[in-house]
Formats: sequence, C-alpha cells, structure tokens
Amino acid sequence: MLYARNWMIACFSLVLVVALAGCVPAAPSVPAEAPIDTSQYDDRYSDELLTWAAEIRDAYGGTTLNMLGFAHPTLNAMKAITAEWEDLTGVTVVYDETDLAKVRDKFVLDITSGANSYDLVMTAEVQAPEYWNLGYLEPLDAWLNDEMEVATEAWLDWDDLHPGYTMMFTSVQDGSRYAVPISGEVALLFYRTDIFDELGLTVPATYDEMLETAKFINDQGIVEDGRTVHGISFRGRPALGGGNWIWSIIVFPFGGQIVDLDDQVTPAVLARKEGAVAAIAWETEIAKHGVPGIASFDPFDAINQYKQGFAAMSIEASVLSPGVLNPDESIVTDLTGFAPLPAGPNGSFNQTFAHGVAMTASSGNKGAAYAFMQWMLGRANQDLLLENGGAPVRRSAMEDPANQEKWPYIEATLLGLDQAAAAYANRYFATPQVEWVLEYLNVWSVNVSRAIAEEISAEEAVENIQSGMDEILAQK
Amino acid sequence: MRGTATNALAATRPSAGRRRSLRLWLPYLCLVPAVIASCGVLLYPTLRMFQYSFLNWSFGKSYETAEWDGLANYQWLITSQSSTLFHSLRLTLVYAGTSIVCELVLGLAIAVLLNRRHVFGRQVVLTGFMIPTLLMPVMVGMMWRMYMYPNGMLSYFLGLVGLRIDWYTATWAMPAVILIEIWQFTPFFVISLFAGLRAISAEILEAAAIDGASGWYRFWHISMPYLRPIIVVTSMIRVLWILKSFDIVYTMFTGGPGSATEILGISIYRALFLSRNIGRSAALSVILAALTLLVTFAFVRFAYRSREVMESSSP
Amino acid sequence: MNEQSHPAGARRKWRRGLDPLVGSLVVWIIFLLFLAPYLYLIVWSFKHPGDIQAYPPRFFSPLTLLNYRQVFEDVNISFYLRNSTIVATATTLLSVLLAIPAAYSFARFRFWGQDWLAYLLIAIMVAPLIALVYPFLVMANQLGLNDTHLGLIFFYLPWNVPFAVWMLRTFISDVPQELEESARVDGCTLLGAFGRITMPLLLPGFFTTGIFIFIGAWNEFVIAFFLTSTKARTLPTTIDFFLTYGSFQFAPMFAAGVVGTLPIAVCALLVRRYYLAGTTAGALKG
Repeated sequence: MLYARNWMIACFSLVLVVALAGCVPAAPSVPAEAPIDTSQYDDRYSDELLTWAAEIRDAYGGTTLNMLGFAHPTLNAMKAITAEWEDLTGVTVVYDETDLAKVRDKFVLDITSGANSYDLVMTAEVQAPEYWNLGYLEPLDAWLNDEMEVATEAWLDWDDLHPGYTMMFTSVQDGSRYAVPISGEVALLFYRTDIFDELGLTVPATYDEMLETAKFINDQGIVEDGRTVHGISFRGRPALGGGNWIWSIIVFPFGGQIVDLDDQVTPAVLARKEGAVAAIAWETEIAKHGVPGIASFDPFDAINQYKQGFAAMSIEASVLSPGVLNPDESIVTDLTGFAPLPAGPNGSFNQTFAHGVAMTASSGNKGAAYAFMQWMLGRANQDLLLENGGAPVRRSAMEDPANQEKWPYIEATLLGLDQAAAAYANRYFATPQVEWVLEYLNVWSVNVSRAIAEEISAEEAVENIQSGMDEILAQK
Repeated sequence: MRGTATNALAATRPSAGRRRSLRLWLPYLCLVPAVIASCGVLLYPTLRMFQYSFLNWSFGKSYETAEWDGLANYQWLITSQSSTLFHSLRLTLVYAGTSIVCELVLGLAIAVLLNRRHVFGRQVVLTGFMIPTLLMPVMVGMMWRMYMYPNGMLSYFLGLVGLRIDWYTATWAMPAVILIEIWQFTPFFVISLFAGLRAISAEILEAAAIDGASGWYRFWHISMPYLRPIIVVTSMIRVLWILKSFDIVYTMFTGGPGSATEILGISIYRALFLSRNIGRSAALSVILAALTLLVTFAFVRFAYRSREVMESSSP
Repeated sequence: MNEQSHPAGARRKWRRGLDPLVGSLVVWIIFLLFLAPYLYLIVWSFKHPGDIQAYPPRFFSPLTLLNYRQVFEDVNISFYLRNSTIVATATTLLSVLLAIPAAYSFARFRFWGQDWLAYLLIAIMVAPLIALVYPFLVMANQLGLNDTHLGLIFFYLPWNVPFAVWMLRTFISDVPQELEESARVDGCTLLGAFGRITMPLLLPGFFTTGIFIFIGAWNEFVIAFFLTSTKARTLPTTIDFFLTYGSFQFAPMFAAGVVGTLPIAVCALLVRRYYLAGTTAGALKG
C-alpha cells in the first residue's frame, strides 16, 4: 500500500502546516479593559483634558474605530502615540494601511460596493473633493462649531491649524469643512550647499537662473565616488502626484492658469496659453540637465536621486525634508539647503498640499471618531508627532523657535506658505474642488510627462490638456 | 492517448441500460465540480463587465446613476483623438510577444542544458530556479525599481563592464519591464520543459542514437514533437497571464515615461480609477478579453493539431 | 542521451570527458545570474538601512537583524503570514480536489464537446481582474464574504481550478491507460483503479500543480487588496506599508520580501523530489 503511505504523509504535513499557521498570534490584539491610571499623563494634560478623556471613556469606551490610511510619516507617528489614546479613552483604533495612490481606489470601491468598512479615512487634498462631492464624508462643521465638544484650545483648534492647509479641506462652494489636516507641504528647492559653495553659485531667484544653474552644474560633469552629479531631479511620472505636480505650481509664476479663476471649474489653459506653454517648456528644458528619466520619476524616485547624491538640486515637497535629514536614507544630511521656490515672470507663487483625516458619512461611531481627531490635533501632540517623524500643521507649532531650530526646513516651509497665500489671494488654486478633480489631474500628469519625455511638444501638451479637460467637463 | 476508456469499459463489462446511460453522462458529471468552481464564480462578473461596457457610468457613483450608452464607449475608443487604444494594443503585443518568445527560447535552452547527462547539482539548480517565480509581483517591481536606479545593483554591475543604461528613460523603459518579466518567468518554462524532457522515454532516444542520429536531429525530431504540447500549454498559460498582467509595469513606470509603457492593463486601470469611466474601462477590458480569447484559441487549435500529429506519428 | 553507445573516436572521448564540466559551468553561470537579484535581496535585507542604497555597494558592511525586528514587531507580519498560509493552503487543496474528476474525464474519456469544454475553462478567465473587482466586491458583500478567508478562497478558486485541470490532464494522460485497464480486469471498480493505480503515479503531478497554485494564491494582490481590510489581509498587500509617502523603506521591504518568499521556497525544497520526479517512465520500468 505504497500510495496510502504517501497520502498519509502528505495529509499529515498539510495538517501540520495549518496547525503551525494557527499557532501564530492572531489579529492585532485588542487592549484589555484596564482601570485608567491618569497619573502618568499629569505632566502633559491639564485636569480639564483628563476630565474630557474620562467623559469620552464613559460615552464611547469599548468601541473600535477602523481607519484607512496611507503609508506616511505622520501616520506612523500617529500609530506610535495611539496606545496613549486607547489607554485614556478605551476606544480602540485599528489601522488599515496602503499607499497614497491606492488608498483612494480602495476607499471608493469600499463605499460604492456597500461594504462601508471605515470610520476614518486619511485623504490627500486632491482626493478629498471627490469624496465630499460624492457624499462620502461627514461635514465637520456641526462638530467644530459645537462649543461643548471642543474642550479647550489646547485640543483641536481649527484657527490654529495653518490656513494654507485647512483651506484645502474647506469647500470653496459652500464653506463646509470636511477633514482636519494632519500633515502638509509646500514645494521647496533643496540644494547642495557644498556644490553651490564650491562653484560659487547662489540660490536661484528666478526660474531662468535655476535653469542656468542646473545646466552649469550638469556641464561640470562632477563625479563623486563614481556617482555623476546631475543638475536637478524632480518628478514627472504620468501618475497622480507625478507630472501634474510641479507644473500646477509653476504655471502661475509663469503667467499661465489651468481653470477659470472665477468659477474654478471651467478649463481655461488656452486663455493664457503662453504661460502654460512656458512652464512645460521650462520643465522639459531643465529635465535635460537633470538625472536621466525624470519623466518616469515619482516623488520617491526624485527625492531619492537627490538624497543619494545624484542631483545637486531638487524641487520637492517640504514633507520629504525629514527624510533628507535622516542619515539612514540620505547621504546629504549636512549638505542640504532649503529655499522657497524662485520667482517667474508673473511673480512668486506656491501651492500648499495637505493630508488630512476625515470622518466617513457611513460611520457608526462618529462621536468617538471626532474625539480621536480632537485628541490627535491637540497642541501637545503636535510636538510628539513631530518627534515621531510627523509634519507640523498648527501654526503655533511651526512658529515655535525651538521647533524651527530643531527642524531647519520649517522656516522655508513657512515662506512657501506665504507664497501660497499670495497665490490664493489671486485665486490661483491648483486643486479644483470638483468631483472629477482626479480626471483633470490625470490629463495634466500624462501630458506633462509626455512633454518631458519629448513625445510631444510643450504646445501640443497644453492643447491636449485643454481638450482633455473640455471633454471631461462636457460629459458631466 | 491510446484507445479510449469507454471502449475498454464496453469490452470488459456488458451492462444494463442504466449503466450505459451513466457511462454516457459520466464524463460530463466529472466536469461539474470544476465548471461550477470556475464558471459559477466568474460568469456573472464577466457578463457584468460586458454589460458595463455599454454604460455611461462614473466610478464612485451608485449603479442607479448609470445610463445606457449603446456603443458609444467603443466608438470613442476607436475614433477619439485622446484614445490610447491602438498605442496600448501595439505596446501590449510588443511587451507580451517579446517576453514570451525570449522566455521560451531561454527556458528551452536551459532545460536542455539541465537535461544533459552530467550536471553538477541538478536538483539544487532546479529548485533554485523556482525562486524568481515565487516572489510577489509587487515586491519584484519594487526591488527592480531600486536595482535600476543609477545607484542600483544592476546599474553598478553593468557599470563594471562599462555599460551605462538609463533604465528610466523612454528608450529603455520597455526593455526594462521586459527584462524583469523574462527574469521572473523564464524559470516557469524551465521547470515545465525540463519535466517534459524527462518524460521522454530513454529507450526511444537510445534507439535513435544507435541508429546514428545526431544530437541536433534527436532534439528536433524526437524531443520536440513530445515537447510541443507542453510548450503550447505553458505558453498559453503565460499568454493568459501576461496579457492581463500589469503589476510590474504599474510598479515600475505606471505607463510612463510619457506613454512609453502604457500597455492595455495600464489603460484599463487609468480609465477606471483616474478617468473614472467605468464604461470605457469595461470596453477596454472587453477588447483585451477578446484579444486574449483569440490568442488562447489559436494556441488551443495548435495544441490539438500537434496532439493529432503526435497520435498519428506514434506507431 | 546515452552517449556510451556512440561509436567513439579519441577526439570524441576527450570531448566527452570535458562536456559535463563545461555543461555544468554554463548551467551554473546562468543559474547564478538568475538567482543574483534574489541573493542580493536576502543579503541586503540584513543590512543597516543606511547601507542599503550606498554607492558603490557595500558588500561587506556589518549585518543586522534590525529590519526583521521592525517587520515582525512594528508591522506584525506573522498575522499576515498566517492569513496567507490559510488562504493559499486551502485554495491549493480545494483546487486540486475539484480539478481531479474533470482532469480525469478530459484525459481518459472521449465525449462530444470535449475540446470545447476544455477551452471553456480557459476562456472563462480572459477578463482582466481590474474589471471584475467591483462585481466581486458586490458579490462578497451579498454573501457576507468581505474581509474573510473564505471570501478570498472563493474568489481564488475560479482562476486555479482550470489551471489545475489543464495541468493534471497532461499528467493523467501520461499514465498509461493499460495499467488501469488491467486493474479493472482484476476486478477493481473505475474509482478503485484510479485510486490504487493512477493516483500514486500522479503524485508528482499533484505536487507540480499544487506548488504553482500555492505560489499564485500566496502572491495574488488585486483581489486580496480590495476584498480584505483588517481581518484577512494577506502578505503581498503588506508591501504597501513600506511605500511611505516621502521615501521607500527599502530595508524592511526587503526583509518582508524574504519573509514572504522563504516559506514557499522551503516548501518547494521539501517536496522537490515529488514534483521534479515528473515522469512515469520509472514506474513503467520498475
């Protein structure tokens, strides 16, 4: 009975495998209901806050919040301090995590298929308008306006959150607020101080100067430890947060526009065509003096080339600065300068981009979810989040000299935020708050990427962008 | 295939009418579990996909908002200026064709080399060859993305032999993803073809060798006909996978730079999630499905023909 | 391949002596080329994060378990390993089990529409996964299968059963029918003959098919990504944790990649004498 023995061995080993698998610890453990010991938090929280926490515990203790997030330094920082929240209030937070590009696909499919798995969702400024226009998000106004809910300014204080960030989650149509920012960014110029010193260069004040600087550095053919140092590195991938990003920022300094400034919906690139074309042409031109392959770089690749010493400059998001200063990821920690973006023919403008946490309209635990937001955005937790690798969003935290001292990029970030404020005063918004915002962005990013890859000319790219957006609008 | 079981049954068991009807239905009854597990689950979604391709429906909106749109989606794909259908089709064929041909040739060569009389550590090599196919596609995309950085491992070793390839540029993006495909799936061919080579009975080859047939002749006229069904089935499975696959291209390039790697899988992804056009993405899917159907059908016809050839040639 | 029976001249003899050496060398060079990226992945997963991207590569920098600690402690990867094991094992067993009758039927019987039915099993899989995700999710919600192991298994079966049928069919038709027939003459039933005679000879076939199905189910991404949230998430979806906004966490990602491949690599190694034995010729002779 040879075959019987073989089968017994096979079955036995399978049972063994399954049994072994079963022995491995199961789902992320739920903390046991323990009597609260507030004494350890006395130095961080006032009595008022501890009373608030006790009230939340009475009201919502034992509930579980499901939060969908994307891999982000701030999310990691949040996770790191969530144990304290669970300890204080008895509300468990379970994180489901993916990356920025996929989080939206997952969230929208989850809602449309009727699964409704999440109470909280992390959203980028380009994703939120779609969510709220489709009715996925709970407007926070009722909660934010309820004085009883806001225990103190040390807790969630909307007015202390930087307006450059909060306005990304405030509807231009009706002023409703849909998410609280937990992280934000502006575009910064990262540059190698050592190379600039050695070559006697100054931080470029205009985009033309920047182009010259990139060309000059690239032509030097500097080789360090076998690495060729190129002029610049930035993103140009035909994906969200790729090719569309820089263009949508610099199109305003170059004198162009994307949508009609008044209604913020109607495509109007051709109305100021020269500016839009000039911006793409500048990107195409400077990419020739950059790391080869910019048209396929996303933020990771772009900043990675800079961090690994293959580029002397980079236009990237301020939120990537902690990585540049982290010796585990970067070899240019001490050699990096941060500067706001230069000026174009039309002036100097920037854009802000924000990542926030929103409450889903379908959530069954809204009270607990809002309390969690309140706690997370508390002033004390700002420093704790910064300490854990997060980004500051409260103005008081950013203007704190101690923080500015410790994190050198904060100063340049504040300058960038000022530039953004100037842009918004002119109604230069790079994020149309419409349901089809991602469709617009897709058209931009693909065409800018194609222009940088020299598949089409800057002029053709701009015309494609206009016609692509027109087509989208006509369908609505 | 030597004779059929039904004949054998009839010869050994003279039987009543019930038995005969059971024999008639038995082959079909045997298929039931497999057909239910595959078609039972997939038929409904596939029909829905077909139906969606006629709808005007935005991703993110409820099904109630969908409107019947006739053939508008197909018409747009074929006639519109901004449609990337033909570009994607061309790239898909280049991508799938080049990858599979290279994998097959390489796989066959390695299998033959492995099947020689004395290969030191054959078992180790064979098991080791499984490893690239074991890796998660997402992981494969990410690790090669790093290897192909200017400071990556691949760039470094190519640099040692004096080559500098900028994988991220429009010229090299497609070769880059094809290279990764080849790296990951050649072993799949190696394993299947090696098993096939082993199955060829030694007597036949010995007999041919005694007749004085050269190695090349033996390979081409004796091994190849045996291998052909395995080649066909393996290639067909690969074609089925690769036409639909987009993980590696997505992770590496998301269709870029520009539109240099925008294969159909990427177009479908874009149409659904970025252009939010469920109808158009479904129409693209239907086109891709039709293409896959066509190619696999050709393979199957070929498989049957080669089987008949085999049967008629075997004494 | 029997070269001793060749008429052998002196030159030929000399060549025969060198042949195995050259052949092995070529095989090993190709093999190492194929394996290098994975070996690199393994070695580099033990490197300190700061050394991972160093240029030129630091081949001899000190090794650390830091990345593995991060993967097991911060990400709790054992939870996802467990889910993957359950889903992949069940999918493999069920697929093979469900495929056996159909494969036998295709290999042993001649019936009307045979070729078309076999093709139907392939044809049903032509739809791209992305286009099916939404109907899948709706189905899963209606059946209460969202975010469960059973749901994943349910949606993995249709992709793997046809594959198993096609693979097993080849293996079954490789087993000479005469063996089965003679058993039947000796008084076995159809099932008995199959179970006693064919099944044992099919073990290599089962293992070969099973291992490919296991790999497929273990590595599947799209379905696992959309159909699970917190309870049934599998290993491939964890790679996302390391695509942090701002920087790829290559170090823990590599560690997760190794953790995700080693179990199947070990499995493959353990059963290799079954799946690589892929021949019935030996049974015929012995």
